Amino acid sequence: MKKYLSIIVVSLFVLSCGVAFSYEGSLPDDTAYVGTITKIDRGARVIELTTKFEKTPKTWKLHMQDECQIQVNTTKNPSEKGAFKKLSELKEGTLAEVHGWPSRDGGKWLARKISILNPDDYMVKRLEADAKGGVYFGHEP
Amino acid sequence: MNKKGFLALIFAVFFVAGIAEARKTEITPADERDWQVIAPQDSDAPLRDYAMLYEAGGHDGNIGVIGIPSMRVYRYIMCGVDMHNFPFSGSNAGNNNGTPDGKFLWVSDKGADAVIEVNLQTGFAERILANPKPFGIHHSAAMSPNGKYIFLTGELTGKVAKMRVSDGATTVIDVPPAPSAPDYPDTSKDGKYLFAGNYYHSATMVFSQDPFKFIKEIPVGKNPHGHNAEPRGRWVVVCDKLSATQSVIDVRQLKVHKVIPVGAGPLHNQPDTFGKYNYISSFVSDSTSKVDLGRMQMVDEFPIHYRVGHNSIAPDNHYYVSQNKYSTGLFNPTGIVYAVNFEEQDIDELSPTYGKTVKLIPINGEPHEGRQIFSTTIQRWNTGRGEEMFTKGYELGDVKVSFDDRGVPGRSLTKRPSLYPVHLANAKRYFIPRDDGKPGVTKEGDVYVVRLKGFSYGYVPRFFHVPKGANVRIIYTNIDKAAGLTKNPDVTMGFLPAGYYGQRTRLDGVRGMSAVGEFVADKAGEFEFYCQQFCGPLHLEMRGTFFVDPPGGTASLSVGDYDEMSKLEYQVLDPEEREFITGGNRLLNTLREGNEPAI
Ligand SMILES: [Cu+2]
Repeated sequence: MKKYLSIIVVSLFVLSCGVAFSYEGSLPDDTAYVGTITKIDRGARVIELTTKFEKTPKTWKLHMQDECQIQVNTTKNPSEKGAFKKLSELKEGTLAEVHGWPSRDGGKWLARKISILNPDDYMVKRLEADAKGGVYFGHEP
Repeated sequence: MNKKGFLALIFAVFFVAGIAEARKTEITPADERDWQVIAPQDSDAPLRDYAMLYEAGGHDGNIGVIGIPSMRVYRYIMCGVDMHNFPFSGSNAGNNNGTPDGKFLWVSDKGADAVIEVNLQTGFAERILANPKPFGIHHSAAMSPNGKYIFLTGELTGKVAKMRVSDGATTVIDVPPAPSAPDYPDTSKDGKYLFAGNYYHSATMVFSQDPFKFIKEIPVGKNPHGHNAEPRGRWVVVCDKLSATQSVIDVRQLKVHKVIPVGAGPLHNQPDTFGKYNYISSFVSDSTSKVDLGRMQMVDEFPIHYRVGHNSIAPDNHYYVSQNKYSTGLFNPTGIVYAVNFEEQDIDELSPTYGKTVKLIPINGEPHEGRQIFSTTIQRWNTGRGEEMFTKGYELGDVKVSFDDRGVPGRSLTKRPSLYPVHLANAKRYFIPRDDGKPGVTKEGDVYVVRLKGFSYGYVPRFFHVPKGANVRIIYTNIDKAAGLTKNPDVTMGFLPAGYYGQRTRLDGVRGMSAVGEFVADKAGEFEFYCQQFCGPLHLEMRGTFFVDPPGGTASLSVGDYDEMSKLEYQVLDPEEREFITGGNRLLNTLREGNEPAI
């Protein structure tokens, strides 16, 4: 009986590990997300980002830390490269890459940097083309 | 109209057009401006560089600042003896470039066994954070997520340290079994782990950041070199130097997920900001290997000119700089040591010059780590604005950055030090005709003469002893014959004992001459020496040990004047000045494992 129980426990553990470690798109403890900023709560400094280039888009709530920078990463306008922006200037619908990390208790995802992307940039085009061809971002072999 | 008249007409048309063009440029009227134009103007910096590459220059002792994409050298910031790796202050979010707040970078000085803090806004070295001795630092490039701690690898003694950058308080742990060489480190972005290669163990060591302790070793390819956590936090990419592969470690499972064949001699990684591509410098195949971390395979390879070492990537993923170790045949000679070079490659897949080299420049020293920053991060402190560094600080969008470091040891609200490394003036070094005397220690009068030979990759003798107080003369001769894999006909062999003696005894063994260094061995201890001039794939493993024995005893890593040496700030002679510039090692080992404040 004990033997069977331990087999069940072990196989459940293996199964749960398998689920936890399967990379089907973005995960809550990823330290970067790529997608469209769908909602901005300026008072609470919380943004929502819906991922792109994944099989199934996911929406993440990102809490901006005091030191969270907003910076133009790629742009058609050369003089805007690397320009720092204020939260009041950030628009919904912006394509962005957000870097940060989940808090230790897992309750909040703390954004440290919002990088604004040019939708025509080669990396965006590459991620789009790959997703069309079935190589989704965040679904590693 | 004759030919001359026609040319004159064309000239006149262009001249008038030029005047009209010049008139369009608006300049602030003289009575409305200070002695120099302050506000950004159309006419300002026509060749503006959108990013700046900071590079740790190795044995030139400097941090170099280079414009991207122009590759113009802007500045050298004097730091110390042998500069290796650094993070920018701010946070580690993102790829290797991090998320800089623009205040500092903390660079490891392998020669002085210290960390030098460079103020990016003044453009001067500001503090020295000395390591507890014996340590033998190689790298300081790994940072906790919030930038409060940096992790140091003591390659030369088998130790790893966690240093609080505000005051230099340091926790040191040993990484057995010996021989152990903790090397290139990086941290997981979420603050959980520290990863570091160990070339003697052919493994990746995993530590927890908080509490700071060793967790496990993961076997990887042979003699692993660069280790980097990619921005999404899923993978740690490892360059398996002698296996021509990339081991990809799954951070969640702490085991190797995939081994990817790449160009031979992989040394360093530059993941892009997405964690999609990882660009690898491949030393033996003379190339940049482009690995797709989604497909888990190498998808492209760009040739480079000559023997790459380190590398760097632009913050917008548009340019990649291959930081090459040799330049044979490329440039004018400037003496008996070759210039090395930086080669900029276009990595924008939609650009007509994709994969091509777009600029190649000779460079000073033998650069190690390179990290790039958007040039908008460095403020315009000229035209009298410097004062604001003491009062207002600066703004990056909504983010206010202040230099008000009230209460931080060694820092002052009203002083921004600019250090000048004193070791440059104190070294007694010279060249003599090639000395072919027997290797070993002999006594000539009251001088202990050490005849030391260097070749790729080793020293004869590997160990030598002198008594404390001895007058020492090291005669260093390059006996390298072929330099094997390097294809370089004239490899320079380095000698540098890390730590206390590193200040005065750094020698460059060029062929045909012997390099001599003289000093008094006034501190006892075991000092690891290494080669600071890149000489080939196993150059990093080229090491030896120099013992200064205390009266009646034998020096070791536990027998020596280590406490005394730890308290010295090497670049500074005057004790009063020491107090002024450093927040260094006054709090050595006050943090006990598990008791540090949270990351
Ligand atoms: Cu060497």
